[in-house]
Amino acid sequence: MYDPIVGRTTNQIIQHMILPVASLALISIANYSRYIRASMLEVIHSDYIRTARAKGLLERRILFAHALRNAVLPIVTIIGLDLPFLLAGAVVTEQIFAWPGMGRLFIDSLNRSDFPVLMGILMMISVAVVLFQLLTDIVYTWLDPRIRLT
Amino acid sequence: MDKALQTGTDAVPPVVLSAKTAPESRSPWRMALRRFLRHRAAVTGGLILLGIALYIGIGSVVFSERDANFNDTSIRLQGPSQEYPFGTDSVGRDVLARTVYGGQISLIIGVFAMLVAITLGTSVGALSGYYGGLVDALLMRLTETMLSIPNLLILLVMAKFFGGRIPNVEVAGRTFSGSILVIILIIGFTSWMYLARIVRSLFLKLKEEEFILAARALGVPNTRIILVHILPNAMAPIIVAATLGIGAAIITEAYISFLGLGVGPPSASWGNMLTGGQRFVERAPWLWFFPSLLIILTVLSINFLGDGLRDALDPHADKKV
Repeated sequence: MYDPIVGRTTNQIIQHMILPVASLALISIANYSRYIRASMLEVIHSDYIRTARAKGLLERRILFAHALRNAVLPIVTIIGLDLPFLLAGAVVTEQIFAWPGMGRLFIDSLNRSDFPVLMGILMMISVAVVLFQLLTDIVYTWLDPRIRLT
Repeated sequence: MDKALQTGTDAVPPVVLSAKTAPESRSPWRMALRRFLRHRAAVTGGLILLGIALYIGIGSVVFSERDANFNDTSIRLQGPSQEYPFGTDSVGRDVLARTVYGGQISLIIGVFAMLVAITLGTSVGALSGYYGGLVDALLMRLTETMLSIPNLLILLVMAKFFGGRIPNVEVAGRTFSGSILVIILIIGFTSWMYLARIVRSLFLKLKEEEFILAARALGVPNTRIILVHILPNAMAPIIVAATLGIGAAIITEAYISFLGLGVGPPSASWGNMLTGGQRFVERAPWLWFFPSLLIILTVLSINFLGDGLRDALDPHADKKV
């Protein structure tokens, strides 16, 4: 996590985060780009994009300001659902990069058959899943006023 | 046929054209096959999978399982050579022979875990979609509960709990580690939820159709309606999920084996070969290169195949493009 000679400085921790963060992020990037592509394809044929074109806006502006902003919305839901799983799914990544995180704690407790710790971690993650789902639902209605939860 | 249509429209009156194309009536399956063959990535994926199957098939004829498990520490960590094309591992086992037998195990796990997941997912989805009411409520709450706990963690706990309790199995003169059975069951039991939801929504829609009403009016029993009348109509997404499920199961197996809780000795698997290679990432790259290459190739082709099947089996696919 940090070079013992240098000590536990922010700089060191950031440096040691590069690879694990990149490897976790790369997996999600692949996932999200497929979702964005699908929702972009849906949005790009809608009427307000045609209106924007008709106004003679720059293609770049249409893509980023009009299409992408709406296409990105469904992603919020997926990010919300993914976050707690990322917390847990970092098990392998933490193991490889020797980060003393929750995933590592999980594996270590598992190998020691320390079940109370395992149950604690599972409990925390399950609560996180429920919380994040609630949060995404709220954020979603705020971002997209067309959606109304009844 | 499409080209003839495009180039011919100017010269030939449309009436003649339609008369020409009309006799060629195609069944839905043939149309699906046509759409599938047009999907280049899917066909390539299929071919690569065939290649891997051949590799494992021919490999298991050339090498015996004893070759795969034979160790000789005097030749440990040797790089790829004429005698050992993929090199040798930390106790001097032939990596090539181990990828062959590891591949068998990984594919067996993939296929059987998928079968368990499909059976469970389809039954849960079908029951809750068809019967509705209390059954539906109970089964769907169960599904949601399963969905809200990360797969990998349940898998690890279950692997730890059941691992080592099941003795090695002798099948056809070969010894399989009992952990394989455990892995198959736990992967199957933790990956049926999405399919259950898909099947449920299909059943909800299909059970309102007229032909089901007709079947009911004729007094067809419920089980027969589910199995013979509705299920065949819900087959397309199940086939797609099955294909993608094999890939996911292979990856999951690699994950848990990598963490040391998966397939144990004497059986090799692509996943536990990676664990062996982890300590020699720089010193002996051939230890992890070949198993991971095979995992990537297999899963990637399975995913392409699944994508192709999804497009091919969707009856609206032609209209979309």
